Amino acid sequence: MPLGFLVPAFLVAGLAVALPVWLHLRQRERKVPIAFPSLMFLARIPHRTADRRRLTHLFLLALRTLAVILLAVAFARPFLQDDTATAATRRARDVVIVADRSMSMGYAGSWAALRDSVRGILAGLGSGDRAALVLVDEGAEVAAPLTGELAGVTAALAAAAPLPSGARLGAGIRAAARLLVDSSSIRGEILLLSDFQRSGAAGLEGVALPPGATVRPVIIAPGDRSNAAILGVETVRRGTDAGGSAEVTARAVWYGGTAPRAVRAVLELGGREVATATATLAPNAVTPIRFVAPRAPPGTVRGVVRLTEDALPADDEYRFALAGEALIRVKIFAPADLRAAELLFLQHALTIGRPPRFTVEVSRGGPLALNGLGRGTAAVFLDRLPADDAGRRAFSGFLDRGGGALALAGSRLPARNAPPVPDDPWPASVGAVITRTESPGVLGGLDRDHPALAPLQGLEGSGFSGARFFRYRALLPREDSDVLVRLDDGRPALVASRSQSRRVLMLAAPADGVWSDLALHPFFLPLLQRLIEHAAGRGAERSAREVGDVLALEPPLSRATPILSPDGETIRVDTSATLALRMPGFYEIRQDGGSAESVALIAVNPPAAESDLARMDPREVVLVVQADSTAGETSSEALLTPVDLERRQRFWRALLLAALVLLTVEVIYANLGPGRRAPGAVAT
Amino acid sequence: MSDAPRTGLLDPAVLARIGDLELVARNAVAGFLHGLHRTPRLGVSGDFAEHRPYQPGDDIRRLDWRVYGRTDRFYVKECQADTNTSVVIAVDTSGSMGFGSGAVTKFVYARLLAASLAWFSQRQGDRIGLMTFAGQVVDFVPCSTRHLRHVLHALERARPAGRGAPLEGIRAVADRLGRSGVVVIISDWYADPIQIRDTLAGIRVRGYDVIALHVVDPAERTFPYEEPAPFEDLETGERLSVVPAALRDRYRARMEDHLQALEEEMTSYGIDYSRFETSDPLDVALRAYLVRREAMAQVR
Repeated sequence: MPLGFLVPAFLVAGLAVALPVWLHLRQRERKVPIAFPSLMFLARIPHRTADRRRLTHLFLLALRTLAVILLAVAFARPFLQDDTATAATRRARDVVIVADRSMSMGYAGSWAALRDSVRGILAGLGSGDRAALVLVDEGAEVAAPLTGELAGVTAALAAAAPLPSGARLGAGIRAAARLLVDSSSIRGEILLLSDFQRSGAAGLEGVALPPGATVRPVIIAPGDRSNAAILGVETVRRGTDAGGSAEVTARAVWYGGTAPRAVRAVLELGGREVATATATLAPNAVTPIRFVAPRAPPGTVRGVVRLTEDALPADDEYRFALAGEALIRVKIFAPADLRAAELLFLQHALTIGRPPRFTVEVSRGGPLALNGLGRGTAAVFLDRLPADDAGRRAFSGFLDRGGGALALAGSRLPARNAPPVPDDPWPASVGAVITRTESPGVLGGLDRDHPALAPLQGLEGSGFSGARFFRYRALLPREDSDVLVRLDDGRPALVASRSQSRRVLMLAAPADGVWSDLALHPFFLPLLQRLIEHAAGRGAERSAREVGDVLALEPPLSRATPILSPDGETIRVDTSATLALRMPGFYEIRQDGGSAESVALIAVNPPAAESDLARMDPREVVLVVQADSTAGETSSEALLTPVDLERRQRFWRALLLAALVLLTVEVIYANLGPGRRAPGAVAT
Repeated sequence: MSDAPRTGLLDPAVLARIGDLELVARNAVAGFLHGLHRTPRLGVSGDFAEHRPYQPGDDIRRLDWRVYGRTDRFYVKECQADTNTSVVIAVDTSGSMGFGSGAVTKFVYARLLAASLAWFSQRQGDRIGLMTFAGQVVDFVPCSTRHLRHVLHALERARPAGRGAPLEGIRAVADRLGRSGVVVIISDWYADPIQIRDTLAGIRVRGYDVIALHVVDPAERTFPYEEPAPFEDLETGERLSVVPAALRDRYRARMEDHLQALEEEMTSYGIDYSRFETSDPLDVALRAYLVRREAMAQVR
């Protein structure tokens, strides 16, 4: 194997061997004179100045010269070139280096190892070869196109750094293949440098290589890395909005660990440290860390849970938005002839709580008083729906302003035979009354993924199917509606509109204790309160999102709403009502006009999948790409592991060690041997 | 005398750290004497004083056999100390004496040595005097049995400085000497050995016993320097660029020739010459002095 150098420029430092030779020749005289009792004898001894031109202490000179040479060679980073690679360089080839810059590459030492590997690859290229650099994270970026000027590739690499995002290796290979296709290269090679996290394999399917191209994985990081991270938090506010406490439970995980690890975690709310906790993380398991903040700032505040920093610090900090606990206004519209018993369970279910989370107003008959109301308000239609045009307009305006509604169908609503028209705000029409006195209907088919019911995980286990429905209305849902709960006869029991901007729900029976005993079951209270919260637009907000998520802006947020990004830039979404979250931190969405009052706070964290450093077999990448390449060629034999790379480059360590040994010997010899200096006169 | 004196107490590096010169001299002499097996009558003379019973440790040569013959008991004959001897200690204080490659300079060693000798002589009842010289006499304390403190104070005041050829200084010392006695000259003797011999011979013919003590620093003999440097004469300030490695062997040879010539020339004229290195314990110097004093007593 021939010898190459990663940083050959350091060989110039070998010229420094002239330094010890010059010093030995010069034998520079001390400036400070040596006091001596008498020059009587010295003055009588004839001597020539030519003596100074003679080399003295040849052993010391040899030690110093050799040490300088070894240091210069060691810093030039010598390595053994692969014979096959060297032979291949005899023909010009195009090499596209795909470098993974996802968050996991920020693990201690990984990015430096990647840079060293790229430099080694570039040093191994022959004359006439070209190289390109593609940086891959969630997408791919061509940092340096194919060029024979390798300095451009080196500069592009030097300017790159790991990003707080995930990795899609497929995107990088696609971009590299496109470069090779555009260059019409006969011998193209794609070198994929990555830590090969399992999460990076997504998107590899369908990648096609141009004819003659090969893919060679280069493993950058060892597979036994461990990492502690926070996957998410659960927050509960207690007490009033102004002076209440908050309970935060962080879910921490210790990936790749072999033994429990003690960590210290800190909770910050509103930029101030409010609680600390210590926990012992079990290896490869989720460990809850519970904080109790005695006083939580009012409103929606920024929250951060910070773990003891480890080798991958990017995921040791988890940001979340602690939502405010504002009261939800509930307006119940009931028919004028409603009996008190029909309202009893509904009203009591919403007024229970310490402190109550709902303010309930009941309107019997009359017009719909919804003017000025919107988000934060839920309208409950108890056996009544907007009947006239004025009522429908008021209701439609209420929905446009962010309000939501829940309708409970009773006996007073007129039956219809067809689903509602597309413009109708209701998700279903109310059909005939179904009577089941012999075999009461029971609930089933809960749609747990719907945001309205997602917080009620495990509701079935609390007797959800024990409620008996003796009578109910047949609901005729629209095609674009979601049936959240069905009865045992397959009829919809709870229907929700699918539109994200309009939250309208319809229940097939009233909670009066006559048509059904739903209101008598324990789960009625959380179910009803959750449905009201959903209608009011509360409780379904996620406390945190991940980099790469795309957020749909809901009313009253509009396209022109100014958004303050984590780096302080103001973003305006002009063409679409979506916001791409590109960096970790807090996005602040303000009202139109740029007032300081924030209406929404979005916490963004790096992708949780990046914290799991478990590595896949890089051959899987080769196999997937090979299977999807019709005329392409892959190389699974030429895997370059860190051990291989290290083996080829480890000369520099031995050289450095040898230089240090030589210098140590030189110091000892110079102090104990002929280099020892005698003291001068002592003043008295 | 003991072959293993308590040199730890007489280490010049240790003694130099004690500020009180009188204390140093007393301890040095006491430590030296403590190492002797016998308790000598140091003031040996022919004047009888009294008899006393023999005690273990007494020199059996001093048993009075006549008394033993009459009484069948051992008695030792005590003699009166000779208090008529004047001891003049002359210390070279020229700049070259300020040189030292170890813990003490030549001057410090010479001062300790002079103080110890003064104390030692005072203990024997000698009249002691002091002269410090560097080209000429710098300080002078006349001989007296009560001048020990003056001698010690003069030694404490003395500093190595200035240019002074030892021959001129010794001649100036000789001019100040009174009646016969003992002259102890402590110097580094940087001069021609023959001229030194002639000068000291001039003192000797005036009836003085001359003891020349030569203080040498180890670096003066070994010349251990490596780095080329200008060497500066401590007395003249003259500088000379020297490559020590190139001159070392020749320098050593010349130095050894000088030392050998000094010893030969002085000894040939009956001048007692002793050489000490500044790393030597003081008892070496004191022993040499004692031997000389005993020899002088026997001569009398």
